[in-house]
Amino acid sequence: MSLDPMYHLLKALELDPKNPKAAYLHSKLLLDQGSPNAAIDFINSYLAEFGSHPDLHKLLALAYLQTGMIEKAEESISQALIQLPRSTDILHAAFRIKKAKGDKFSAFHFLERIIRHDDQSVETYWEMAQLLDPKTEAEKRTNLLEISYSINSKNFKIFKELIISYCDWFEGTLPQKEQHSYRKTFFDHTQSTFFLKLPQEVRKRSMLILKNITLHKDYFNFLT
Amino acid sequence: MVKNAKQLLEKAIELDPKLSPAHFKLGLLYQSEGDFNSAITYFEQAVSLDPSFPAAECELAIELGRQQKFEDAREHFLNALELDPNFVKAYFNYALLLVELNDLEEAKNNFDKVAEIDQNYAPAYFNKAKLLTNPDDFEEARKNYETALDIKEDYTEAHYSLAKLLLGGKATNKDGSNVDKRDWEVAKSHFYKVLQIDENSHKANYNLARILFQENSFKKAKSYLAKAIKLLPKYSKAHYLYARIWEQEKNFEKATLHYNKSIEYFSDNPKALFHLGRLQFLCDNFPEAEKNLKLSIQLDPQNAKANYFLAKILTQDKDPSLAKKHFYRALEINPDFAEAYFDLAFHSEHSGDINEAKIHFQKATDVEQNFAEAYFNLARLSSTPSEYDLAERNFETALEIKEDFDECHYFFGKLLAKGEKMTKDGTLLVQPQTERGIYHFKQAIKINPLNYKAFYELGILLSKQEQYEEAFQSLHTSIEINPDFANGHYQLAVLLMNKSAQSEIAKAKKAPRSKQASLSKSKKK
Repeated sequence: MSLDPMYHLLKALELDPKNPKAAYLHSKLLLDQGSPNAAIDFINSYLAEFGSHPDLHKLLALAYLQTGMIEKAEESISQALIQLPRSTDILHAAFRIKKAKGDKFSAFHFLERIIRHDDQSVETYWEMAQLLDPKTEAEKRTNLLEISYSINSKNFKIFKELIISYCDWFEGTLPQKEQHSYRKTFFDHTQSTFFLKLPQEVRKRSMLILKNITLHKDYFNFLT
Repeated sequence: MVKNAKQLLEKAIELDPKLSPAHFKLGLLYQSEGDFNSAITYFEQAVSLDPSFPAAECELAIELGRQQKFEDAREHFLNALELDPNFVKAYFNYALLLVELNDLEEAKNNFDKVAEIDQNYAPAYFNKAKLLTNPDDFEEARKNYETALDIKEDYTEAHYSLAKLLLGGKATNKDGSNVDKRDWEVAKSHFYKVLQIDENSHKANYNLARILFQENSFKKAKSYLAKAIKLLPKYSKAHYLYARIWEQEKNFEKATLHYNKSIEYFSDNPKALFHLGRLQFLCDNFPEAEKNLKLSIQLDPQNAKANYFLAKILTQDKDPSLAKKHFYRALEINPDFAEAYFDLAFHSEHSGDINEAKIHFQKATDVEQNFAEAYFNLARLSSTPSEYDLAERNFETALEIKEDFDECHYFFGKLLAKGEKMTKDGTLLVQPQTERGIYHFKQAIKINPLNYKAFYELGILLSKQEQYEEAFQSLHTSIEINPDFANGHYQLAVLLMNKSAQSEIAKAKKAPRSKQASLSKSKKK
């Protein structure tokens, strides 16, 4: 009675070599076990024998990515995308490849495509925020983290990142008119129980910003 | 003696040509010798010489009847009866003539007249009974046969005919409704009586075998049939019945042989052709079966079963319409033919017409309300979410009728596990009924412990419920039963790739060993 999943996958493929699900799982297991080259060989031979399959193209792309063959990874992921342009899994793999390549614009674009099909994906908003520069794209980044936190308000990691993002934004520029609506939100966040759990340094930065806000001439506008 | 009598009578006529009794007696002598033409000549002389000679009129009528001169015969019978209104022989033979002329009512009246004059004239009762073939007259026929047998105990024909009457038993009540008055015990006793009197009666042997066949006394029936065939080797009906018994006893070779003989000795034999065709169908000899069933249908187009079996053979044809035609024909002949609806449904399904298949499975359940397989297949085909309730109801009905229907438990389990149903407003709901699904897969396994697919589906459900150890056991059993079950291996791999599952299974695998170890320790102590 073998407990090795690989044994059963090989058996399944021996009995039904065409089964794409078994082929997929086998390749995935090879990747998880850190054998991307074996996965590449297996997937290529499967695709040559039984024809194209989007999920296998995706895995092939990830395997190439693991071995550092970015161009081949891009080639494979585009094969997968041709067949299943709305698959969030494939779009996410494409994002990972672009990110690894350093093409932030394309990476962001794939995440936006995922959001079009699943606008409640916390992880995607998080990934998008991570792509943005904390200083130059602070507003957009804060917005994305705000959405992410609104979907999952129990996630401390997002909360912490959000508060830091607010600090980066507010510290970097003088309070602008556009920031009015955000000030109240920021203030509300500081009342959260999570706020007390933040590192002291972050809390200090936040309190300083709060102080600046209250001294500002628009303070009363902010309160109303 | 006869020669002397003839010479003496001829001498008497020579001496007195107008001596009518001598002409009559000479006619009787020729009649007894089988020289019917000469007999007629002398009877005619006797009648012409003595117009008041009823016996001569009667014998002349009998001989004219023998020569198919029915109208002349009738005239002379009437002359005889006019001269002697109590002349039993004239009445009886006149009645027989009327039977020949198909004037059955008048014939019955004349047989009655005979019995009126001579109450012990057994042939009159027997012949009248033979005319009473209408189911309304069953009791009267029976009484007449019984009276004939009361008078003449060894009346073979009466025993035989009464036995046949009781073998069929078609009768009617006073209100005209049909009633079954078969009495096989009494019928058998009469056939036995016939065989006591004449053991070479092939018909009695055959008919006795018919009853024994119906009573499932195959061994006895075969011995009587063997005798009937020995007496009359070309007895088609006996060969047919012999074949039916061999078929019941699963000796298909002998059954085929005797069906073929039955057809050889009587070619317009739709029954034998049908049974031979059906047998060949069951033995997978489809070309021969098709040929014989077609011949049977040619001879008897109203045989629903022949059309049904032919349709079943034609389901293998590339053109699905051929089989359909015969299924529909079978159903036209017998609209209550549930099996025909059932197989037509399968045929429609295989031809890709699922909706039609569903209609026919439904029809099969309408006709045969306890047709569990039809309910099951109807449910199996009702696979869209909008048909969920219908499928559930039909699976349940099938299982109410046939509790140990493992395939039904299996498919029902799959439906419940999937749980996709459509609400009235068209919303798709996914509400798997995992517990019920598990119950039905377990039932399927209980009934058929080799149902590897049920083990497989059960494994998937248990794994969804995070009962990883049980899921592993179930999936493992599925591939143990069928090591070539690729999906089983695949699903097992999926389960083992789940880390929680992997650790729980590994723990469970170690547990029995530690238990064993503690057991052995305690034994040592």
